[in-house]
Parts: sequence; C-alpha cells; structure tokens
Amino acid sequence: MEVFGAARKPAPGKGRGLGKWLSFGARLFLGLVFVYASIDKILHPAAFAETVYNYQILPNLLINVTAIVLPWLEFLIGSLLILGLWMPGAVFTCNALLLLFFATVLFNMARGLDIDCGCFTASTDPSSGGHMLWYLFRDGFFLLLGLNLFYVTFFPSRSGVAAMQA
Amino acid sequence: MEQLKILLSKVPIAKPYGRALRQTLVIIVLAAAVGFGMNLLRSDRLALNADWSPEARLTSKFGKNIMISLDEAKEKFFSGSALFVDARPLEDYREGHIKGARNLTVTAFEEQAFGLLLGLPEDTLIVTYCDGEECALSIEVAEKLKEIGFENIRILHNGWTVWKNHRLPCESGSPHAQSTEK
Repeated sequence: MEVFGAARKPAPGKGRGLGKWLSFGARLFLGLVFVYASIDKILHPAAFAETVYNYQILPNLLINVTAIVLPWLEFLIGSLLILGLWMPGAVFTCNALLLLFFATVLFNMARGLDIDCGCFTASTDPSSGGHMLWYLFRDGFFLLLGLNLFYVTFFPSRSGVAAMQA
Repeated sequence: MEQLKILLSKVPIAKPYGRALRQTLVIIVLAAAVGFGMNLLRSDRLALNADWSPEARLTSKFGKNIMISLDEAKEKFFSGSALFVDARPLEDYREGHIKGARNLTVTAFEEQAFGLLLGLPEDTLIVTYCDGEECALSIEVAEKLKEIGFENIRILHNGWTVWKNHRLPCESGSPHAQSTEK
C-alpha cells in the first residue's frame, strides 16, 4: 500500500550541508514539541477542554470531541516527525495545525480575548494579556520551522535536500 | 488541461501530495480511534456532549450552583451585607466598577488578597464578578478564595455589564484602600 511507502524513503534532512542539519533539527524539535505538548492534555482532558472553551471559537458540541482527539493527533504527528516516518502526511498535518493555532491566537488578539480566562479585555496590563503576544511569537516561530519542513519535503530539488520520491 | 499538466511538470515539486493526503487521513482516523478508545477506558472520561452553561460549570467546580441573581446581589449591596470583588484586570477596574467593590485579580491574588481579606470573617459573603458571558475570571477568583477558607462565595454572572445596564451604583478610579470595612 503506497501510503506506507514513505517509511522506506529517506527522511528530509539527508541532503547536503547546513540545510540538511537545519531541516533535521527542525523536524526533531517540532516532533518533541508536539509530543511534549500532547502529554499534559492527554493526562488532563477536562482541563484542556476548559482551554478549548476559553478560545470561544468552537460550538459547545465540538469542545469535548476536540479535547479528546486533538492531543492524540499531536502525539502521533510528533512521533512520526521524530521517527521520520510518513513525512508527507506528518509535515502536512503538522503545518495545518500550526497554521490553525497561529490564526486562532491572532484572531483572539484582534478581538481582545484573553484566552487564559475566556474574557474580553481592553487592558494593556502585561499581567492580563501580555502572554498573548508571547503565544503569537512562539506559535509563529513553530510555524516558520514547520514551513521549512514543508518546503524541504515538497520542494526537494530546490531545497537541495534528498527528495521524498513519489 | 494539457497545458496545465505541462506547466506543472516543469515545476520542481516532488509528487507526494496524494500520499500526503492519504497519510493525513490515516493519521486523523488513528488519532480519533485512539482518543475515543482511551476516553472510554478512563474513570474520568469526558462526555462527548457536555453542558457548558455557566450553571453547569459552576456546579462542576463548586458542587453547587453558586450564581447569584441580580435582584439578590442588589439586595446584598444595599444592605451592605456582602463584599463585592471585581476580578477583572486593574485597568478595566479603574475605568468603572460596582461602587465599593475591591479589585482582586487571579494574577496578583497573593499580593492583593492579604491586605483585602485580613481580619475578614471566613463566613463573609463575597460576590465576585467580571465582564462577559464567557468570562471565567470571577470563577477563578472564587476558586482561589475557597482555597484559602472563604466558603460563602457567590458569582454575579456577567456582573459588570448587567450592573451597568440596570443603572446600579458604579464608580471609577483606583482601588479602595485595603481595609476590612464593609
């Protein structure tokens, strides 16, 4: 089954020079981040459901479903990135999630919602909303790493890194 | 269509898109299967369709619905038999708050609570409030108050907006002096 074919192909990062090591580092780092981020959510789904609720984006019907599925999705993606397996799918899903997280934080910042409490505030007090900016920069950094992986995976000849052969 | 194919063939992209989509589908299905399966095995499993109403959330956290109605809050206010606590950030508090309310935030709870609550009997009725239908600050401050021994706590849901809309006594400015006067 072709979907398993990627397991026999070299993972991104096996090309030449600095680019190879940067891509390998990005893959490993993102993989570890995803696995680490998933663990607490898997252990404490109720608390994570509360967090999802505080984003005030999903309808109530989807909150618990998201809290149940999303942590395992992160865990799977992280594991696949670390092991270098199913890279097209892992990188695609990873970037989709990172883009979603980044857009969500940006959207909530724009409407003045503090996602830690689910409350709207016009306060510029760093203790109340400064962490939103931190989330934005952090998620933006992760997204950049993810986009690098995406480029290496889907544009191998341009990136100079070994191709994921079709 | 032929021209599009020729154009695409000139673009140096590997061709794993089909594989990527298939793998993505398998990953999502696998995550859902494991997630729902593990949820079934948990003793504290999440219900697939939970009640996220304010009353349900309060009952879940405090064992009972500690929401106070506006009429009851008004009665407590005018009789002076409750301490009102504004859980919003200081800046929002300064712009306007329930008259006589103290500011007590989650982030600065330890620093503020000592001065505010020193000498206050633990059975004092404390009404916390914030602003917005989904705001959880009042709940979080109520939880912290409960942790330090104050059991007689009520929450005025969407308190600031509701209080203002009913033209009840408000004021603005810096927090009151931290005293135990009621």
